[in-house]
Amino acid sequence: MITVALWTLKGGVGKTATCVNLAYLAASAGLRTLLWDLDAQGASSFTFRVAPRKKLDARALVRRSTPLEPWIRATDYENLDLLPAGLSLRHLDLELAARRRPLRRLAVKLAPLAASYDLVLLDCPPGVSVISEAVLRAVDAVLCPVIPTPLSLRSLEHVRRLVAPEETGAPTVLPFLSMVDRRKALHRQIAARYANGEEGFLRTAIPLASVVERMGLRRAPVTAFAPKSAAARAYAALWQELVAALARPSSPG
Amino acid sequence: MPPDSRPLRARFRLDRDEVLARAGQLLGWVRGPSDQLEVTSLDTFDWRLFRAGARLSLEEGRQGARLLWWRGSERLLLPVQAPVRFATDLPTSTLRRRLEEVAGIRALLPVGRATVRRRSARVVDREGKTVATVLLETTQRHDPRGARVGTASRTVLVEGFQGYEAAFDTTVSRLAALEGLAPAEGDELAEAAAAWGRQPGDVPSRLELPLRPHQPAGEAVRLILRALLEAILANREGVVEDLDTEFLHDLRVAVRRTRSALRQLGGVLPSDEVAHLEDEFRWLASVTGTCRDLDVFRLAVESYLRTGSGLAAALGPFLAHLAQHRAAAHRELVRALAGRRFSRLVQRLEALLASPPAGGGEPIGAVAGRAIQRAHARLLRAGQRVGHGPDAALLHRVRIEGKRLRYLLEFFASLYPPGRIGPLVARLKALQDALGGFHDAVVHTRRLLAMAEEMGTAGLGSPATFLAMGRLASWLEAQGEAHRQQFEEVFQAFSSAPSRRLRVLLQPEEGPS
Repeated sequence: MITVALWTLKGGVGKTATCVNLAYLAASAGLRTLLWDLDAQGASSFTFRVAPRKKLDARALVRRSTPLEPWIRATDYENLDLLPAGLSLRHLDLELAARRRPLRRLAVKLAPLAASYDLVLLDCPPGVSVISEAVLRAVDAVLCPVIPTPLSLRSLEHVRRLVAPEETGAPTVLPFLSMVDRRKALHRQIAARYANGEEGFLRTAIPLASVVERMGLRRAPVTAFAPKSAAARAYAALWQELVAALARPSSPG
Repeated sequence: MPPDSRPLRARFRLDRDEVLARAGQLLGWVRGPSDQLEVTSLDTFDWRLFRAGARLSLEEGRQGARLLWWRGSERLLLPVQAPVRFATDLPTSTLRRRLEEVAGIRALLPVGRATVRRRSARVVDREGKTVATVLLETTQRHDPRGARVGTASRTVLVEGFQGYEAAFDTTVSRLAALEGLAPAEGDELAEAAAAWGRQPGDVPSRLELPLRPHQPAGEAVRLILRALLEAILANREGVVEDLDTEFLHDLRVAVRRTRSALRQLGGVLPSDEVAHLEDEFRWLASVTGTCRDLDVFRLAVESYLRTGSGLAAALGPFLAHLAQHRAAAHRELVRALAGRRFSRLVQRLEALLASPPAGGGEPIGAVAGRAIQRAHARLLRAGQRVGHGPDAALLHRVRIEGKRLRYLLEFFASLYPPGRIGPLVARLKALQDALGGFHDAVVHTRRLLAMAEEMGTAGLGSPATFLAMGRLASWLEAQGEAHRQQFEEVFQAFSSAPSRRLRVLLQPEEGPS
């Protein structure tokens, strides 16, 4: 089982849109895929129309004795399951912090899922928290969306520092450009700088596209309802690149 | 809250079409796409998936081909492009892992085929999320030649989803209450297999002989030989068609068991027939041997390549040479199995089995007890002759005696109280695994060196190939030595506790009852 987190410090950079589409593409390729929505906003869950079970709250989720399986629900897509989130998870950070060895807890909770899933994608809330620290100890790679702006690039630097590449077993950081607006000179300029995979960037850039915003209306991945759109093709290319990157021997940081 | 592991799948027989409008109204379903599919049910020849409670089918329709797996609540789906014969043909995925665990190296073969016209509908919740699907299917089953079998059946299939079990239950109970829908009886796999001329589990996974202790020995030995002949004939087609390596393995096991039965129990049969059949089965063992050795060799090389040696490319010319040898051995084998000598052997054995046993005679219980005791004593003597050195001939003798004892125990398991024979067979199996591993390593190393000579003479392979073959030879030798050491431990354990168990087993009051 491979685990990949969609995480960065900045919000509104396309984490959820990427997570939802990569999950759909992985499942369509035949991989048993779980998307774990860790963000109390529950945007991934909303997109897939999956509400959390009534009894799900932060305490139940992090309790060592409770497996994750009962909280997992199938989506409308073959091979794709979801561990949904809602406002009931808003105290997840506090609950996690109150546990023994909190930073290992997510890894412990994920381990039994290896029998049932090939890929787990974690849709993480933005920012630095106990959740993000625990995620970094649980995943093989961090996929990091970067809007081509200086602030977003600075945020990537922070991610790289937090991932602590000097530690054995630290996840691989895989940044990629997201929400690229070709009408803006700055976006074009920065996108050109990373177009050939400089500084560990994946080559695929996800364009800013209204069809991606329509995912909230259609409540489905753009790769499912508009597979020929430029955005969907970009997600498909990103997925292929991610598969290749995960197949390479790991190079932390 | 424990995860719900029951299958979320219910089938109804559709008796009246009018009921569909009522069902749609009741469930508020949303109509989905229709499709026509060619559905092939798959299993191994010996029904490993069926026995493990799993179902596998290949569905080919407008959307392409996909493999579908069900076991309990687990439903796995994998799009496939090329025909799938083995688990290892699939890309890395949970489905591949499941098939590797359950089917192992056996081929996935059709055990049923149908054309299915499918209309689908979704039952949705307030959010528009699908909580159950309803499939209206018209199924026309076919036989292996593609001819229709019976008339088309019409069913309504409800499939549920993890996390939405309550919605599945509600959907099923609402449909069950409708007149014109009746729960479908019978198993889909059994129906598909019946049209194909098969029945799930129709190939026994092991030798099962319901013998009675007081049965005349002549009759019981004929039953044993009948079951073994059936196993040989059942596997012959798979060997000829070269479907997977286990057909030849199982055929050879049946041949060895037959030879063992003739040798150890032949005293209760006409002696001239036994002598003739012993000769003929020796011939059959010999003509099937080379191909099997090469299969085992190839499996060993594949297992070496999986150790991450990184020598697959360098070993390429050797693997091609091995494949050529194997193809030639298989052609020889097919000729033998299609030849007159083989059919005469079968006729002769069938005639013996059809002949009436001589009247009176000893009961099989007494014959079995004596034969087991003798075989056990021979095994212990052979084992004690083995020193600490790698004496291949002595170890081979122990292996043969071990097999003879094991076969007897398997033939006569039904004569003893349940649970008595199993542990003894398990210990013998451990002994044989160690000895088999050692023997295989010796044979493979010898063959590898012979092939290196041939390839050198024929100018095949580069220096890298020969270096890689050298590495392979070292690995085989190390494997052989590990098995050799394992034998010493296993034999020590076997020669103490099991012999006491055997004495208990064969005590008159504990023996055949």
